[in-house]
Amino acid sequence: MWCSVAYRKVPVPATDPFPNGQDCKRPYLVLTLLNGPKLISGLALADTGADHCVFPLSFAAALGLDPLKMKAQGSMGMGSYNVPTYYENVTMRISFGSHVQEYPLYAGFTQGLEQQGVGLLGQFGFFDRFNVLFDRARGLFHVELPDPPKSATTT
Amino acid sequence: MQKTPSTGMRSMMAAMAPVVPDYGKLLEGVPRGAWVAITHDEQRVLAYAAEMSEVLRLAHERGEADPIVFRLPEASLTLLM
Repeated sequence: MWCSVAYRKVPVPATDPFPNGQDCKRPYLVLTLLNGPKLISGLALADTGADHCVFPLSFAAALGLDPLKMKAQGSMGMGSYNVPTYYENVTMRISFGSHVQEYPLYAGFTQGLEQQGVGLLGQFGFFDRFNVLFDRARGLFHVELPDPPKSATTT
Repeated sequence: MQKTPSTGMRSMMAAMAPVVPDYGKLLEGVPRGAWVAITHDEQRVLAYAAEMSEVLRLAHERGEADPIVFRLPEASLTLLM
């Protein structure tokens, strides 16, 4: 089943190269991460350039995870190199209206996303699981929900 | 696996899709750099604060156990990742 999601319109104030400001449309998904009874819901960018699904380190704290007890690997991106990223198995819940599905996710958490304050949905855990069609002209992207795994819930 | 949606199907899905959430209007008055908690319909700001733990506490106090939480970036930055 294909589900349509609207790009979120995020205004960026005027700067020298863009004196009129910009209305950036970004393919954000609302999702919830769960670790036992603890959960945190936030925005995550469907980012084909990201290897893994990573989130701000504050999300780990909200989930009761201790980075000192997690496995770490360096990450790099624009202007950053070898930023420690801490990985743990959690559950990812995605909702499209009344369709709610949960999947296991080996998620990363990093201080490097604290300023952005949103997660990144990357190749492992997201794009290897869902077909995604970007239709920027219509301001939409479409996510194909596979049949729910045995551990998932569908309402 | 289903086929990729056709152009006609995409038009139909576009017509059925939710309105583009305008975070500019939603976040008016929220200081840059703040963590923000909003409702799941993305229509209302519940709370904002400098720390995520504080914004969660405020949202819980206001009756929302599971708000959507994110941060409004500090500066006028575009996102390149």
